[in-house]
Amino acid sequence: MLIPEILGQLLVMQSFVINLPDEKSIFSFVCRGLLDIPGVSGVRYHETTQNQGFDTAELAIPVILGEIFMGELLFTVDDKELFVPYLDYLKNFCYMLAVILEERNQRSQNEQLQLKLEARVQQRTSQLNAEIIERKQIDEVQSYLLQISSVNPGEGFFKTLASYLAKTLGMDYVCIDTLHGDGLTARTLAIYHDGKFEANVEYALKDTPCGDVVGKKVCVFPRGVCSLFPHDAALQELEAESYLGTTLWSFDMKPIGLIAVIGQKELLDSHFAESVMKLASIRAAGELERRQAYEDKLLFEQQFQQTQKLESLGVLAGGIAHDFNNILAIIMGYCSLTKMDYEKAEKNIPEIEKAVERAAVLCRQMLAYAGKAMLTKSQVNTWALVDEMVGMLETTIHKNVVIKTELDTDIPLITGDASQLRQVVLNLIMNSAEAIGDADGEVAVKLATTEIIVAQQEKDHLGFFIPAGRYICLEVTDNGCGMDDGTRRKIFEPFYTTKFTGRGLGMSAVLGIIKAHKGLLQLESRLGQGTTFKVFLPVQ
Amino acid sequence: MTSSPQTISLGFTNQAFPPGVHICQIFSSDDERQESLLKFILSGLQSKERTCCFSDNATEQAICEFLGNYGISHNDAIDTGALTLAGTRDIYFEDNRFDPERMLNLLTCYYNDSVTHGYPAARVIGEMATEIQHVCGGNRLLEYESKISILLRDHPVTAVCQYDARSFDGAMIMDVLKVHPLMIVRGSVIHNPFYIKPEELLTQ
Repeated sequence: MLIPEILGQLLVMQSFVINLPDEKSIFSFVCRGLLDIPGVSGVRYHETTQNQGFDTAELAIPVILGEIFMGELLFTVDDKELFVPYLDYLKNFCYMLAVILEERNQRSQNEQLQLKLEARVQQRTSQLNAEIIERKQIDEVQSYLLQISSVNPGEGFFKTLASYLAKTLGMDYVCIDTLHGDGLTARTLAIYHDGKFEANVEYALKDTPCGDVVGKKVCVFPRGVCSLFPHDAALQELEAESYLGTTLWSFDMKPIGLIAVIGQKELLDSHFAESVMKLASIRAAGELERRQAYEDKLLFEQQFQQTQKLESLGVLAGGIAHDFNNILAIIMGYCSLTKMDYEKAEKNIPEIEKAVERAAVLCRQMLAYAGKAMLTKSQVNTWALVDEMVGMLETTIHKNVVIKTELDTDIPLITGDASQLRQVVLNLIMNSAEAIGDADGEVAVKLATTEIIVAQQEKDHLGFFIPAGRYICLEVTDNGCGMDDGTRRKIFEPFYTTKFTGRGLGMSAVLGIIKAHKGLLQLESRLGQGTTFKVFLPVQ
Repeated sequence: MTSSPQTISLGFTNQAFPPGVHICQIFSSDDERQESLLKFILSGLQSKERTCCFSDNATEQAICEFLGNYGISHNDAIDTGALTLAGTRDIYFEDNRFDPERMLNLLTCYYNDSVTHGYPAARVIGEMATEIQHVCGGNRLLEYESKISILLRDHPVTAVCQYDARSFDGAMIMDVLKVHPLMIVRGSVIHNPFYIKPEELLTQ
């Protein structure tokens, strides 16, 4: 005999259990509700089978969906007759429960998957955000490094970089080193500690973390660096906790230096610090190489100048020896003739005097080159002097060469040796005329007063700046053969000549005389296009 | 009270009921709770019924905004006494104990007062707090609910009792269902097949 209300309860329970949050709650609810079934005195749920049958006091109805066994409802039946009519309904009810539970399990799994997915998305988003922030910071570091490279060359660069790294990475000590002694020692280029720079030192890399860095891209000890390098006194003194070092590589990938940052606290974000250090090491290595290249160039130039000086001295000594030897040979020759025939000795004396005079001229030219010639100073009218010399030379130089003049008449007097200044004008014009050779050509001679207002406005033939001031400027230009670089470098050296008959003392004497008058000289020449000499004589 | 309406709307279902029904809502989500509560209050105020809500989870701001969307001033309703809002714990657990007699008396007074003020009907929605399982007198919950069913016969306040399925044990939920003649299943109000008449239950 079925009671309709009981069947209604089963239906309502099926619909209602969906509202309940979990399996425990569902079966707690169901077991209480099923107690209303006639003949039943107890209901409980078991997740494993109890293998109960009709013969026992408890009847088990499995909650099963296909092959998925979820548990079973165990009914304590007091009156089988009353209970049995509901058995099929209860089996169906348990099947429905199984469906609901399975659906709930699936939903729960989906929710868990979704939660996991959301967690992963959130984690990845956080990572991406962190990466974006770090990328931005790295970009800022990169911009800064570019800026200090161009603004602070040399040692200033390394100091600026050291202080910047300390601030950016929050570290207490930064040193930038260059390697020496086959990489066994390092010499600091900048040491930044406790907000100030310390004096540079040289130290052995053995037993230091810096020794571990050399040859590696990055070397990190995020914590406990002191205990790892107990023999490093500097680390112990600093009470260092963390260390990060990076090698400076040359263009051909040889270790040339290192950067080390040391902290008194644990290094938490080593990834960012490593990125910054890698960038800094590239910049520092470039700067170090540039600096070393500059030092090498200076050394090479010094060596080159020394070689040139020795070479010049050799030429000078050889030239003097040769000329004097010739003169002495003449004197010796006439002396021998005199010994052989004293009666005719008188006619030899003028020849000996000529030779002595030649030797005296040679000495004067040497003194003039050295700027040590005795100056017979007077107030010199350079316009008159140049005009006179041009007039004289026009009659002596080859007819194919025309001398054109542009001489200011309003030229202030200067204090100088007129005869020596005449020699300057003579030598420059003769040199220019000879550079023209057999072809038609022109020598332009200009004389003017000029004012160099700003220092570093003009350079002399050696590349030194001409001091600001008022000068008389004598300019001699030809359109002759011009000079190559080698000739231009040596033209003022004594005994250097490109002419078959020349002694190579003219231009060196010109330079010596100009120096003696505290003047300067400019030279512009291009092979095949001509040459310009400019003489600057200071107006007192 | 003016002449009582023959049927009333609960707001969250299209079904119509006579005043004084006693309904149990077992909900399992905050949205479900909130939707029933807000619609029940709105429906009551729209019908000019005196409306009362005991809940710790429905904020006054949410109620105010919801009513405002339908052109009802929450402040006016409170000021005129048409709407009463109170926290569950404040109402049910005075002095940290649950006193069914006090609550039944309150409900009686509420009804009588509504009559005095000429409301066509009165309604209450209240969410039971989980503390009921632990406070002194909490074991009289089923007795209380049964007595409400009796009280509503003479004082027909429409009452909806909300229980959070996430906070109460399944057996407890079943017990609670047994003392409500009507229950909400999947959004519909149905006659509760588990219902045990109060006289029978109180005898047990």
